[in-house]
Amino acid sequence: MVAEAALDPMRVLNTTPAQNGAVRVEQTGTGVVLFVPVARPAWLRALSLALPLRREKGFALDRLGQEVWLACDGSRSFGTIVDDFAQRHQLRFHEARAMVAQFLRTLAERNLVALLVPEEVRRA
Amino acid sequence: MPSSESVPALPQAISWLALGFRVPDDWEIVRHGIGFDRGSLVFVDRVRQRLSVSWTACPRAPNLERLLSDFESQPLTAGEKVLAQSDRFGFRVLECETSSGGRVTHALRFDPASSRLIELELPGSAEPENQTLAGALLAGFAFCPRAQDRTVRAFGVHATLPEGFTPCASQVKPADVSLEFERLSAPGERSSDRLRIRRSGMARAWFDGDAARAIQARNPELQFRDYESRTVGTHMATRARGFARGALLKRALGRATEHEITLWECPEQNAVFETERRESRRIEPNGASLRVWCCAAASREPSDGR
Repeated sequence: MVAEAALDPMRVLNTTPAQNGAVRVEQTGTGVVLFVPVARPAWLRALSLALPLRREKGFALDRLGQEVWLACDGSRSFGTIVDDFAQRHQLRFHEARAMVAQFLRTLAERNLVALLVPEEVRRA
Repeated sequence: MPSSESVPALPQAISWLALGFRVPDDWEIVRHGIGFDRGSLVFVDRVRQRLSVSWTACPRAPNLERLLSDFESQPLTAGEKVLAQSDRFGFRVLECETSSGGRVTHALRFDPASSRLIELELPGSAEPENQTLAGALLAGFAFCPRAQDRTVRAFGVHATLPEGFTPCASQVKPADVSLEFERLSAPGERSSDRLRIRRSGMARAWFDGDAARAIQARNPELQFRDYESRTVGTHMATRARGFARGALLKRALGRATEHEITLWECPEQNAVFETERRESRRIEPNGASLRVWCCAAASREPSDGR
């Protein structure tokens, strides 16, 4: 298997995070809870009709998490989101980048956002 | 190029281990050394490395000509070509072209005040702005002897240390920087006198204004016996004194180290600052003090960045 080449920093900054359209959002007192449908193989889907298997997974976000989640509207690049976050919280660019990147990685791992690198955007 | 060339002033002042200089506002430190004898500071902008400042102790003044000769031949082995040599602002400067067509500026200088060899590396392009930037950087360099090094200005922290302290530990995380200093004692000996400066950003997101509780929560290993209010610039701060938990016998014998912690919020920077003094003897309230300049309202900031 060929290892994927590392993205150059400019491409990373131009990557656009977009919310997963299948995610259901519920407001709570302190933030939001995101519910993402659980992906299952066909045989398990059939079984889930008979068994009470959960159909969604929920992820609670605090106020800061909600701020980044709302910024992932598919129109703003990662660099823009970082700039806005840095300005709002009076952080240096790399501080904000590290925090937003870590959070976006978590969201992406949980299928809550998709990261569109520039080439993929052009193809779409 | 003559050293009298006019160069623009750069906005961000850095003071670290008896080196003072200025860099553009969007450059940030991504690697740093805390040893006076050997180390480096590496700066990046949004996407790439812009500057590396390295220092190496030289007890005696080195043979600079020989060093420069080695220095000049070194890039050639790495596929670099020396395009020009010059003396700028006390630095011997080599303009080199890399194998990929990029430009790198190397600058070398021996600083007799701190007995160190200072080496700068500025990757860049052949654009005139890059040359101007290199000139501005070199022009802004200031050196001082180790004994007079009392200013720290990096990672959003600007402080003046009491005499004799030097960095001994650091922890730089996003929005949470902690720098620790120890008092220089006799050669080969360690001192238990310590200072710590911690700057925690995004205060509005986590700090509820209860400084005493924050001090206790951030220092669970300490037991505090008294809290008092004081001012730091225009900010209200809380000062707590205490000892390590469980050091009853040491305390009874008067051998416990006293900790004095001061914490305040700087709304202008959206940050909480915490300083700690740890001394083996009782801390004198009016002793030589640590001063942290958090914002314009709290500072009498030196105009030259030192």
